[in-house]
Amino acid sequence: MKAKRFIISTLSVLLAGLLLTAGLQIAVDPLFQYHTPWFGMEPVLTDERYQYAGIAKNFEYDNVIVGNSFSENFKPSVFDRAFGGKTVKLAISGSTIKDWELLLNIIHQRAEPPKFVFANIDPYSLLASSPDAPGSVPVYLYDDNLFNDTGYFYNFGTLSIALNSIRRNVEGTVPDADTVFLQQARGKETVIADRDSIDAVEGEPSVDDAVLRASGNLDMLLPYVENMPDTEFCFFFTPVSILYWYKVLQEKNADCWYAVSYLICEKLLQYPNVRLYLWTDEEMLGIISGLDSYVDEAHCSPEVCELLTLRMRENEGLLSPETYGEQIDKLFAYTAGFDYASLLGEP
Amino acid sequence: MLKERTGGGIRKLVFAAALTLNLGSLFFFKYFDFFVGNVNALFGTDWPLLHILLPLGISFFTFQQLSYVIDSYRRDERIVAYRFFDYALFVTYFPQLIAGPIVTHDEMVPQFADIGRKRFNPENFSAGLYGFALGLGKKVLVADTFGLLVNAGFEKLAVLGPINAFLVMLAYTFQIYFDFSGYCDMATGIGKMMNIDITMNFNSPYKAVNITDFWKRWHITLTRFFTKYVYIPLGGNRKGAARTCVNIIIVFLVSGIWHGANWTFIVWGLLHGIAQVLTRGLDKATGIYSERKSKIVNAVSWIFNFAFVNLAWVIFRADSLAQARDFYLQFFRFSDHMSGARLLQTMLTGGFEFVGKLLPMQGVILPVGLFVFAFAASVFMKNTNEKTAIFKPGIVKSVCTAALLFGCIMSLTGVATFLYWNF
Repeated sequence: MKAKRFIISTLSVLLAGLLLTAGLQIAVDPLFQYHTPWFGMEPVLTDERYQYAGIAKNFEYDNVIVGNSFSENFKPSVFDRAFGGKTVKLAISGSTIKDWELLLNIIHQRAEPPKFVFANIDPYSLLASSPDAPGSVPVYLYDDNLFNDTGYFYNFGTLSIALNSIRRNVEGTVPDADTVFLQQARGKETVIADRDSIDAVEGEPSVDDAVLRASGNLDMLLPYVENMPDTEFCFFFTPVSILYWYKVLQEKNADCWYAVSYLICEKLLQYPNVRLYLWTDEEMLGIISGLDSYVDEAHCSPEVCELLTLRMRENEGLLSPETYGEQIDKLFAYTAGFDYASLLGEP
Repeated sequence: MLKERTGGGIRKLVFAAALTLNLGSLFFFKYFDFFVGNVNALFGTDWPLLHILLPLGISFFTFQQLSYVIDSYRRDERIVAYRFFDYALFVTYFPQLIAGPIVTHDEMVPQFADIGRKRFNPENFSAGLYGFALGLGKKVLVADTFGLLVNAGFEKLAVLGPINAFLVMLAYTFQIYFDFSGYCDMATGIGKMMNIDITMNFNSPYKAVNITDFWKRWHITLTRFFTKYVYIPLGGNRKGAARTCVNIIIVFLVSGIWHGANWTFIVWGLLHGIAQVLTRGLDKATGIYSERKSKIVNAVSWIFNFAFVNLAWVIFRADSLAQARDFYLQFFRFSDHMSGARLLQTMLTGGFEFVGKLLPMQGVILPVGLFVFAFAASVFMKNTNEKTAIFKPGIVKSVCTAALLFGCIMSLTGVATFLYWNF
């Protein structure tokens, strides 16, 4: 073989491989970046981070659920029934506020703004990462830059998702989009046994630093609230279990959480298109301290999430500038005075 | 600086200024925080650290410039004929700019000027393309995959246990070799495509039978630089045995510091220097390397040398000497350690995960297979330079080259950065 022929054949085989792969990725589009599924295929949801940007861009919907794992156990179908229209869930487990901002940016650019945006809001989510930190999602899927889509076409991971998508459709084993990422309650004993260890803490965490970080994160979301006046933003305080409150108290974060809870209310309740919910009634306090309805110490079951959806529809637990202080104080007083020793069987 | 009419005083002044500028910028960007941190620790001061971002490849292009400046000062006659453009191209020639090899002006500038090299040459281009594909494969498919295991191992350092510690150590040994030599292969391949021969930087270093042999094969151009500009000016081996040993230790200490601003690199360099001195002493006393050349001695010596290089890489990889110590202690932790199979599975991402799904027992077979391949490739097979030198175009090679490039492109998203960017 002559050198010239070697060069031509090598580059031709390479080019053919690249074109075929790109063609397959565009046709199947397992991340929905360019279109909803063709050829009568059903969308196969397997990866939140990679697929939700495409859903936000190209699917038809009236309402959207964003957030992190605290919003993951909500069912879109329950929202459909409660609020009308079609709901998509774009809650990404372990996501940062920066990730939510990237999703909201896509949603904001759509011709028709959604009627409702639902999202968990809580000190944990606002303090988990610095506002300056990069997000956790592949940014090249969340922008409009076609040139960096090579990361989508030419990627064994996304090729694997495409092939899995075809296989699932052929086999008829497409997971139900309504329930695919749900996690069920595991019962009080398991939740207690598997709880996270308490981190050793030296000194008191700075409340000022916490407020600064939370404020920076919250400020990433507020422009979307302002610039989408026809959309109702329904934020809800995540009802983490009493075990999680124990961790917060033991790690001396209660003061930070308290200040950040006030910050959330002060900032969000300024907007007429914001509804902010916090549930401190006997039934909810019973759920968070009962633990039976929890997947782990932080995440409540799909059944509790359904209850919360219906409560939002009825505007139960809706905060106002006049009531939020009382409700926050009530929750913090309850968690501070709880008998943790009895719960954990400790002397 | 070169002109005969330039006075000695001015020459020295310009030379000193050029050295200061180059070494000063290297010190500022690379060593300032290390220096300040040590001063603070030693004297209890509180001088602020600057946290400066390191310019890409600064250690490499600074050394190239230093060699140019020193040769100018020594009145190297070839430099007289160079124009500014020649100098600029020599320093910024992109294939080897970021991570070497550290080439010298007399190797590169005449090639740039050679009119015969400015025409497309299909033989050179095809060989270069082949070499580039091998280098890219070494970096993306092999080094980065070992890197996943190494990172996971160092994250779980406290529960590694002896077998996992051995795997992580070996994985880093392969990672750093395939990473750095893969990068150099890419540089050489691109150069070859443009009819430029870039100096060989690796000659199968894990085939070395002793540490002296190792440094003749590992980062050859760095060893050459230190020999020419540090070891020989210090007196080399011309001032007696004791002074030779001191000179060797100095060279390896400087080499350690060159690799990074951390005590780990200094200790790593010192250990290599001591090993070098001991090897020379042993050879001088017994002649086992220079005179006898016994296959059995070489085989035993290879085992000791490979073990030493492996153990020393642990210090090189560790974030601190304390972390290196904790790593070594894992060799003696015989209970409560993490599962080796679980650690091996951290390597299964990208292409390996994709291929692995098609195989039974993919969680173990593929990672173990990669270890076996890496060992065989670095100890028994021809290296990329040798393969490129005897390259003959063929249909199988063509398809394999295309497949390798395709596999690398498909694995590029999400892969780690070049290890040697920081040096």
